[in-house]
Amino acid sequence: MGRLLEYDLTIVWKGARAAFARKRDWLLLVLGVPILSLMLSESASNWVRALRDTPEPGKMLLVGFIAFLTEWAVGRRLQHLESESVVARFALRPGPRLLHRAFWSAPPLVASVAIMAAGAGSSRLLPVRVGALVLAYGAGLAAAALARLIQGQLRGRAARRRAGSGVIRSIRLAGETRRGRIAALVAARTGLAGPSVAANAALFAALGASLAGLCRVSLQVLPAPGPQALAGLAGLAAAGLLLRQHPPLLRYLLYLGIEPLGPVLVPALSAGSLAAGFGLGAFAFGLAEAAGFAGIAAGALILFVAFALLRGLHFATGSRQAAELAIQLDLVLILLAGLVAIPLAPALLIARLAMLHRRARALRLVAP
Amino acid sequence: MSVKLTIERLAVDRGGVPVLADFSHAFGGPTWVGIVGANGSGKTTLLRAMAGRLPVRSGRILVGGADLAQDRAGRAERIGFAVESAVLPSELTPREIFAISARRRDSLDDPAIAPLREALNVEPFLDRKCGTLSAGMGHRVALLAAFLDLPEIVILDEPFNWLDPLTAYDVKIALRDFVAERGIALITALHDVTTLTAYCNSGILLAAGRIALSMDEAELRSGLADPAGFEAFMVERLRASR
Repeated sequence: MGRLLEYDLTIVWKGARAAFARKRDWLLLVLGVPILSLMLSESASNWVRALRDTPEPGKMLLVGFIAFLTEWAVGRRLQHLESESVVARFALRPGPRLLHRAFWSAPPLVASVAIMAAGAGSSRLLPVRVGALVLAYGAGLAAAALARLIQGQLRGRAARRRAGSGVIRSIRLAGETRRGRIAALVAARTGLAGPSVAANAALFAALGASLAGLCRVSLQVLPAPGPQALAGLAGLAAAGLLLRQHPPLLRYLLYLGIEPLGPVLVPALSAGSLAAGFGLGAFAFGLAEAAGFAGIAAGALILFVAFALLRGLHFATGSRQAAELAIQLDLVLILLAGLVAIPLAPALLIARLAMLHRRARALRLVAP
Repeated sequence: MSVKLTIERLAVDRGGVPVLADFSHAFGGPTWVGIVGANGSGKTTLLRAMAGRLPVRSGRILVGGADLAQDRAGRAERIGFAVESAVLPSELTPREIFAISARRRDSLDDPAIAPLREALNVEPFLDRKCGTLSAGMGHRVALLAAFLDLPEIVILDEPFNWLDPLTAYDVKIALRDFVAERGIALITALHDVTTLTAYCNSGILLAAGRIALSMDEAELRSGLADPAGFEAFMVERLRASR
């Protein structure tokens, strides 16, 4: 199997075992599996129909997107393993890397084959479909590689700019390991768990797709506006779960020189993945009301992210009591502005966030 | 004394920013080299690059005569390196981590490791998940993992951080003896002048990615006679090289 793959599979296996360590977890599984099976069987036909009805360019786009996400996630994981982990000696060798990449890419590749094969009528078209699959998947891989290159360039440019402006060098130099420690701290306080943010993003994207399936089923069993309320509640619950904050930690991170928006943006990324997963799921499930549902869920998420930003920045820049009072005042002002003219509310919110962000950045530890 | 690790004109970038520009030094074994320097002087970058955890832009890294500057896998294979305890997977136990990360699955039971294993005292939590360990315990696991398979060169970045005074003392003694008995080259970044003067065989003062001062064993030991004076001398050199 190879140590590299064994390392990750052991983490996954032990994580799964830990998730079902208690009796009530098993009870949840016993209750959840039939419901999930029901949902899957309900949605399977929609999946097939939607894919059959999707024109070839649409399928290729979907396959390319799958390849992009897979390559991005696997590449990030390998990068972490080769520079930070105890299995770096294996992660740097071509053989184990290839095996690791092939293993984690196999399920998405199978899904891609299934997508391209959906609605295949004549065997004469097989070479064309295989060609389209190779082209789309290859384009996705290339796009991921290009995106990583661009990201590296942008980071390098930003780092050089920071170096020129005198931002604390130790933070810059301690780099990835320090970020790892902070990520662990943030993870502990935000409810985010798992080996990486990318894995979390994938998890929440899957959760979003499942929610879309739930909405699809709810449309058949609940009268309006039940399904819409369900979507809004799901969005709020997800945001509430993702954006839990711990005020002392937010302040502490500033003292470490961490970007003030960082702790909020990590769960916000997962929230974004959830919304994207919801959108894709809605499309795949043939949810005609996808736009409406996605709008409601995304609206709830955006509202929560904005509130979390406001709250996080207030707590990072002032005492707890002062922050709580200031948050209430801000909310009242934003509400009043909205009553005068609706566009004024988001404008005021953005202006207030910018002010607080500037103040928080000024508090950040900066080297002489 | 045979030179085991030779660095020639090493240049390393972090995030597109040059951190090491022209670093050269020879690390021979058996020796314990202490590298001191201000925050941001390039210690961590140097150690990580030598251990294969970072790519190098240019220069040569000779391990036993073979240039491994462009062979990160080769460096990671031949040089032991202690990772940050925060990156140990919270789901795994130290015993599982040792078994998977070492070349031989039973490396932990190697009698040659026994003194270090005893000093690091990992026994009480060998089968506990890393996620439940304190920072100090996790650090002890990471330190021991660097010595599995008995590499000839071991690199530790601030090894005594997080350790309680008792463990830190035991580990210093065990490391000193390990270096002498196994003939390895131990390279450590340190912030503690006392450890540098009392235990290391040579010292490097790093400033802005360059060697600002090299000290041999006699010079380091002379610091023991007047610790306050030696610390003042080091601080003065650090200030001057900023």
